[in-house]
Amino acid sequence: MQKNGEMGAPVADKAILRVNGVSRRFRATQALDALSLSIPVGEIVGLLGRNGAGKSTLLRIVGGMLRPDLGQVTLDGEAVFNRARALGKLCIIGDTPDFGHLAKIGDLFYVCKGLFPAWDEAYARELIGRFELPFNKRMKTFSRGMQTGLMLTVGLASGAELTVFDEPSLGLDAVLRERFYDLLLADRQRIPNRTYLISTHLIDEVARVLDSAVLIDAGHLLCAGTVSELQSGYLSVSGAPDAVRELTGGMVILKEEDAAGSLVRHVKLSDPGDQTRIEADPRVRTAPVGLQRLFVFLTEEKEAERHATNA
Amino acid sequence: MQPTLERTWWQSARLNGVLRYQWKALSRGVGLVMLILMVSQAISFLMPLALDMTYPFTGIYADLGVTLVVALISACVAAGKSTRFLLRFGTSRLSVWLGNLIGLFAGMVGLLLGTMLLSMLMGALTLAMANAMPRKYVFQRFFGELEGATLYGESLTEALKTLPTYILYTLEWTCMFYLLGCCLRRNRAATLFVIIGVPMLLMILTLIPAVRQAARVMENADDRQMMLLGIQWLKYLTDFVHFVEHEWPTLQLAGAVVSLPLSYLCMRGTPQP
Repeated sequence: MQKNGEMGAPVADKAILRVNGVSRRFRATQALDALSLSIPVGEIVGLLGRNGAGKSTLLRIVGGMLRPDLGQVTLDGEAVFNRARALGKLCIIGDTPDFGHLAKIGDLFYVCKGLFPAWDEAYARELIGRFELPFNKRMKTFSRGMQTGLMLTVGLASGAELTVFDEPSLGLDAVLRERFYDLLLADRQRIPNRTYLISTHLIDEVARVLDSAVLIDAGHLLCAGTVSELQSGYLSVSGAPDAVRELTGGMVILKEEDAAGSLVRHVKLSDPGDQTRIEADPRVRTAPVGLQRLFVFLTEEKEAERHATNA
Repeated sequence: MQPTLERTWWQSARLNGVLRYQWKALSRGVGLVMLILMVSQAISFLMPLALDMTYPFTGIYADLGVTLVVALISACVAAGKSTRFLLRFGTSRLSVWLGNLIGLFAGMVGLLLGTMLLSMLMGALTLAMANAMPRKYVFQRFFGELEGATLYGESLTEALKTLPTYILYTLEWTCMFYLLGCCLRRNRAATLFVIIGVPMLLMILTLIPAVRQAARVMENADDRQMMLLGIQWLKYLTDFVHFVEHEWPTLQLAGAVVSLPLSYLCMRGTPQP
């Protein structure tokens, strides 16, 4: 797991995207502050953070829509801002569907065929069916969910080396959201070296498809790594309350829940041997801590640190 | 990485996509304008059949006025909504700028040629009808003695002669309108102030002292001095009009040449919402 400050330089060997010390300020708000991270090739990476954490600013910089005040973003080794060759490898799907002056899906696909060199028309038409979209209806009559589905179709069929989705599930119902995640996994099988960066609030929902995650807060990198790396050092322990309390005594408790006579504690392990010791005890069951729970804990921990520093 | 595709700069820059978008967006607008022109011409042409009136046809022309109005609207739209759409997919600004301009040039020249073709068609129809119904369909110039097929040929030759100049004007104005669109997208209030407020301010600042001075002179001047003052003013005005008349094509060309890089710099520095 990489933490801010420990990550002077990006560490991933085969990174498609590198963000080096990027800062961006909007008047009084420091949206990004010397943020550095790297996105490995061929992975589905979650960009996770609270509202105002700087996710959208980072994505706008990655997409060449905004220039950083400091630092540099490179895509496959080339700076992105206004560089046609680098941006040609990117497809960015924003959180607000926008179809410009195009009227129908056919028009959008006609344009996309020119925008994305690896555009897969047959796959796009297949996805239209999967997202239950009417091909010949005018796009401005689409519901928000349908518009989102269409934008996701564009992202998936673009064939871009790096495809970025900003809040991809906005407006989608639960069935279509699950379908989208399944499509992502299927697409990764289809094109193994394709990389996805997904920015979202719905952490637990997206967690099942993520290979790794980047957690940012207040413009800083909170931590980054594979999901299992992030989860190591934390454990959910459930079972008889006395046994759980005994085994997790002295550890930092992320959250405690009572469930039908048993107790569930999500804890930060204080010693590497703790996990083996707890797992060996037959009175309790263990599971990795959910990514969302972990994110909430890390964010709150960071906030507490900031308050303490300010005080 | 995916199996690396050998891509030309043109493909990576997504210029195909920008041009395809402009084709879809502009062809609809230009098509609509052509349809309106055709319908209005058809109505004017058919009215003499129902009413007691004459349909006069005075010559073939490419409609520069309509083209420039459409160019103004299209350039502002291309610099605004179209640019936003294209940049949102991560298209480079240079590609969007270049593609927008190529699209606008093609669209506006197409419209100009379209209006000329429409005019040629209406001329041919009038010529045909003038033989059958000479009182209702008149194919004649207000001045000059040419008539009928001779006039058609002469008029077509003249229109073809002026066409390159009109095309050049269309391209020049499109460049300037595109700069206006880029500036409006960047900062609407400041742009409107500069293009409306500043000229008005300058005019007011120039006129008020001049009018005051003239009023002071008129209070004490006799008829001869007032006449001299009037002649002097008229001379200034005539000199200005002559200067504009003689230098206008150069000013227009210079304006267009300057607008091109300025429009790129303006859109390059505009943050994408």
